[in-house]
Amino acid sequence: MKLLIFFLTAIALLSGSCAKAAGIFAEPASYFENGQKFYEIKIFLNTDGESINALEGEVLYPQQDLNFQKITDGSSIVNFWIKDPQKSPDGKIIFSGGMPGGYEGEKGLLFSAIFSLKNDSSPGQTEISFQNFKVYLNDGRGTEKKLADLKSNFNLNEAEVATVQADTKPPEIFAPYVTRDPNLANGQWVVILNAQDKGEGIDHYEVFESVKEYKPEEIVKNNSLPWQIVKDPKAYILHDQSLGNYVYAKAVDKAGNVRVAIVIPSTAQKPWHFNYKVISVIIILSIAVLIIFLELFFFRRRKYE
Amino acid sequence: MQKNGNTYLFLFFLAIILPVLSYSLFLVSSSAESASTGIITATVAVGICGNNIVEYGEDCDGSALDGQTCQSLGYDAGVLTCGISCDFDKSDCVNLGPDEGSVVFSGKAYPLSIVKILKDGQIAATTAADSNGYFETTLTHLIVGSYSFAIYAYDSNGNKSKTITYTKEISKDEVEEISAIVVPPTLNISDDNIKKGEKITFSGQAAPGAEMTIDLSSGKDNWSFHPTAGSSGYYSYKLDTKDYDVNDYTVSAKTTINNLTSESSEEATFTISESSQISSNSVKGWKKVDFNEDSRVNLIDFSILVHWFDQPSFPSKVDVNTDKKVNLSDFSVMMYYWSG
Repeated sequence: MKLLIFFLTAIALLSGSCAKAAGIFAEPASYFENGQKFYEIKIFLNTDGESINALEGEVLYPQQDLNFQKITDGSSIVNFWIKDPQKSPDGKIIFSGGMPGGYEGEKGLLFSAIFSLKNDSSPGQTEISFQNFKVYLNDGRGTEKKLADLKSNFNLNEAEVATVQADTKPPEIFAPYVTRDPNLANGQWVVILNAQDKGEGIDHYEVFESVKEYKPEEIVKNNSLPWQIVKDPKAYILHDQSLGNYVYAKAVDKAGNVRVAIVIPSTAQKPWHFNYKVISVIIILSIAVLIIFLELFFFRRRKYE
Repeated sequence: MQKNGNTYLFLFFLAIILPVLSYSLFLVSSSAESASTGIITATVAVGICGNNIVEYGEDCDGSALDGQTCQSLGYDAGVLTCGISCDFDKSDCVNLGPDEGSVVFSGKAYPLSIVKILKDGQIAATTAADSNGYFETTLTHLIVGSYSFAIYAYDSNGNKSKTITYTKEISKDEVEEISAIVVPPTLNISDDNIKKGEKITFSGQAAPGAEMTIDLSSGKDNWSFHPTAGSSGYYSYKLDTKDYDVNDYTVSAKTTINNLTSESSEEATFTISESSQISSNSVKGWKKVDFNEDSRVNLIDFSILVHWFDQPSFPSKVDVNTDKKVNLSDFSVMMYYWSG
């Protein structure tokens, strides 16, 4: 009996270590949406007692059984993605990003990959592999720590069926950064966009520049405006380099919810600012006129004395 | 009469020439500012309100709001703008419905220090510690979900502490608490190249009266020193290097107050040599990743790094660890020094 307990314990420990070895591991769940069943593979980070502030890797899934649907990263511990989790042309999910100040914990969610079953497949034993996985220590030196390739095995039939609430909340309020730097976009004025969404995550950004001022609620409802899809939210080059336009930035989450942020042109915001150097001209002109007035006044006084 | 005529003529020229001259100056300065990017950097250095770049001492500048929103300033919604003195104009910020979730932060930093709280990498609150180093602030209106919070402080010399992080799940109408925070002390060393036998000073700021632990290491050798912070939070320890080998050393500090011990400070390194050497002039600490030199490490620097990421040629300053590549290692250094 003791021997049996020993073996059972050993098997439990081994299977546990296989699923949750230090590094990265996956957990499955499932849910129904519009009558179709989807499988959510959550990818977690276990830092094994160390503080990690950057990571990258690749996730492989059985492409013969699963149809990739989308990635959700609304509750991710990663705050800044260099490469958003995405399906590469060769069918892997690739990602790289990091978090300021680092993360230390046993189960930090990186992202979820959503799959559906292929027509002729049935759910069963599934293997998710992780390769080329690297983490970087939060030590100020960028110390790399390469981890061994890992695998997570689980039975999709046993995946917990979760109740998924529709994501109806827009991305959080965000502030676009308008800036320019010699090392960014050839020194042109750019707008940098970075919004957070606690639901499924940010899908994309759009920008619309206009001399006309729109109210936030007005611009969200107006579908006739020529919004531009932003290819590079980390440096969208403004069309109006004189910063005379209102810049409307739209963050759209993966459920289609929208948040609009407005950058008010500096000229509209501070009318005097546009001419602040001209003001010096006006001041000097005023002084000159004052001198003339005083000179005339004293000249006449001297004349009549 | 001739004299009067000359006076009028002189005044006439004065009235015409002065404006023309000053307007010419205006044109010259305008064109100089837009002519080359090098000039723009110089403009940043002097800190002009009105150049659309947030510099030291400014809350905002023109369209640049330094990542702040009405919400980050405690409002529910609205449009934040920049005032004429480069301070925030919050007149269009509004408060709306009930809270979704809140979190209260409290703990010890340094006396009268500025404490910053980041929410998912962006500054969400700025508060000040009292004369005992105690601070408390609340973030409200947080949409339900998982958040990464990061906290750091500036000591009275403007040195930034190491950032400490917390992950918290926010629930509807619940008030979460992150208490007993102990901000790591700041740490400065008097010299990074010192001749054997000379003295080196480790100093910084912590909570008043805190017990300090200064950890020194070189290879497998470790030493600890235990000064006490004064009433203003300052601590200092002078080490005589005559008993130490010629070698490279790493030093860090942590603080203990009310039986709570902080994380270690940012590390500093120095070398003990046989002879005096000139200290290296290389850029150190957070300045390595402040690419646009605005005294902050934030989204702008991140965008610059991503712009050159994995590119074959790049500005040398973006290759933070000088390994001739712009990669995740450089990004990791940026995440370490991030100020938001």
